Amino acid sequence: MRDNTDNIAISVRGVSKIFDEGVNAFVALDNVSLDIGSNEFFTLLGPSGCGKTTLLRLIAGFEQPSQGQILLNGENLEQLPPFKRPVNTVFQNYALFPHMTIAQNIAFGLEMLGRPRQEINSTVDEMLELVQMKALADRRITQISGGQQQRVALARALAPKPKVLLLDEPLSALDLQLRKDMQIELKRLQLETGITFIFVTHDQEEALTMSDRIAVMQGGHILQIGSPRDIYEHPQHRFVAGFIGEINLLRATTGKATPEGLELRLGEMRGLEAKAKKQVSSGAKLTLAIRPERILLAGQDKEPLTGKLTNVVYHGTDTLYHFDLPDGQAMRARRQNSDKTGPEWKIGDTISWSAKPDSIAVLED
Amino acid sequence: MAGRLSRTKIRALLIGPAAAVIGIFVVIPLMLMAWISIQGRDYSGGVIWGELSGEAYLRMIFERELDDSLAVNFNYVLIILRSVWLSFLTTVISLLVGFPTALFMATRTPKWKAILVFMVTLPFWTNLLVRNYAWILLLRDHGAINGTLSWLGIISEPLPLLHTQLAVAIGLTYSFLPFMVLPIYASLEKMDLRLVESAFDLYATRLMTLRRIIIPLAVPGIVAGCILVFVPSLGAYVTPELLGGGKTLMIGNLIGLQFGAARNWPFGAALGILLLALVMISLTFYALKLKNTGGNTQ
Ligand SMILES: Nc1ncnc2c1ncn2[C@@H]1O[C@H](COP(=O)(O)OP(=O)(O)O)[C@@H](O)[C@H]1O
Ligand SMILES: [Mg+2]
Repeated sequence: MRDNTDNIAISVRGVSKIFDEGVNAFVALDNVSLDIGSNEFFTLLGPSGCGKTTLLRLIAGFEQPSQGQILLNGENLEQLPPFKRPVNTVFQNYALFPHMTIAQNIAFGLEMLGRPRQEINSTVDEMLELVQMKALADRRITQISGGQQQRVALARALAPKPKVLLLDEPLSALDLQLRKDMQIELKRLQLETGITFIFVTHDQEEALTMSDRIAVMQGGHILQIGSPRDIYEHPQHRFVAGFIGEINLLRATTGKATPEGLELRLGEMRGLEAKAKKQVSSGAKLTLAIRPERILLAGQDKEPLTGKLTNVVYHGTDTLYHFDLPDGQAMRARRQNSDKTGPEWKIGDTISWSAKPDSIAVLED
Repeated sequence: MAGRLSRTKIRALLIGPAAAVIGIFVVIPLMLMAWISIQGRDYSGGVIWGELSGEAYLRMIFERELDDSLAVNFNYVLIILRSVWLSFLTTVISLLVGFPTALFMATRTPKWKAILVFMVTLPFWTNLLVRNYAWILLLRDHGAINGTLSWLGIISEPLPLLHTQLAVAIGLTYSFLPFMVLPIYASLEKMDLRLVESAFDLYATRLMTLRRIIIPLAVPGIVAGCILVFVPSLGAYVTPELLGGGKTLMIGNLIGLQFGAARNWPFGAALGILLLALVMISLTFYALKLKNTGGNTQ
């Protein structure tokens, strides 16, 4: 939750959505709460089927919540049909009108709002400029490529200058290079227009690179909300840790409390410390998460912890080292190839390693 | 070389049956009809083969007086105009009833769609004659409608329903309504419903969404439906015969009369050619309409 309530554009409060009440009842969203600030680029991230689209449809007004409320600038949206909400959507399949030209598609929302013709024309021009489609204004939707359709869908949704723009996996149909370009483009549009973006994706990289804040969802729940750095560095759930980026999940037991936080043991091996937020009793079993690139690797006996190399994979910019701990758990460490040669470790060598306390996340399951 | 030859033969053999069917059942009868329409009339029925005459076409507008001079006679023109008018009326009523029906059907769940499509085609399982007779029972002076109304005390004298233009229009609508519903349903059914949501999202009310999105996308279905209702209505025989009585003849009945009681084959054939021309005109209109929408129908 954010502190400054004045700047909240969308507030979702205790919202649940149950489809097909009765025998076939399916809980698509379970008591979801979140606040999204105005001008924020907010991302809903989660695997397919976790309820992202459902949440967007509730905000747009295509579905009604089974429980809870959605507020826009403090005003309850419950009674407002979709065509009265100052919220526009970029649909997953774009849903452009096939019987209209690009310019007509963009003008549609403004016409429905009853804006004067002159204003419509100038806004359409402005939007065409914004998405760099001016030359194609009179083309039909069927005569342009997927990437261009995507831009038109954006322009159409932005033209009425909504308070909030909802984007449902808008880039998923594009090929890699185009997707990268559009990520930058989208971010630029959001900064230029100052409109709140609620962006849905199942691509963690996309979420990390574009968002101000991310909500990670699973099975109709929000597991964690935070900045990309927050989510990446301090995952609070095993699922969040595993879904975003590469990570080592290790079973550990707690030792005694230390000045830094908490001593952790991997089997019999000591020498790892974490910053423990909560009080954990000695001897408790828990799961830790360490990013491969946060592990400091060194030759034998240089660092407190040990492991046996099982595989070395060269990736160009970095090399991935697979190794087994004495208790049998497998781990991976990533090491920048910052010089030409690198260490001469071979499979079967014993290496040593360590990780700083703030690189270690203690997870809830 | 031999392979090429046999392929040509295979093609000929494959096209042959279709070509034969079209030739025997369409081209030859049409040529015959066109030929008969310009033959001399045999007063005992049939034609005098080989005696060329434009009399049949003249007869549509003129009447030959006893002294062989021509006098204008609008009776047949009137029947032709009435046919066009009644077909037009039928098409309009069918569209007004059929479009909402198709829209309703297209927005149901898949299971209901299947059931509803089946129900729309259900009347085809009974004979057209029987279905029109059923309307006689409903519309006649002491039939179901008048009976109910007078039993309720709303009317004292039976309303003249049967043997009116309205009765014919109702009968034709009833007969051809599925031809309107099904093509419109087909075009609405394949329409992406997300376009409707998209319109709502862009501040369009329900009525606006209907006008700006749903109807334009259903145009191919609407035009096809109108043609499929208008064309058979124009040539209708059974319905005006049963429900229209003697006062509301349509072209179909007039043609029937020429080959029957009136024994004027050339005139009957000429009327047939005229009917064909009217159909061609409406089909040309259809083609032009499709071209205007750019064939953009998905
Ligand atoms: N109209 C509906 N009726 C029944 N179940 C639905 C409906 N819409 C979505 N669901 C279910 O709700 C869950 C979440 O769907 P959705 O929000 O589309 O997921 P996501 O967009 O995250 O992939 C899915 O399991 C889906 O099957
Ligand atoms: Mg989705």
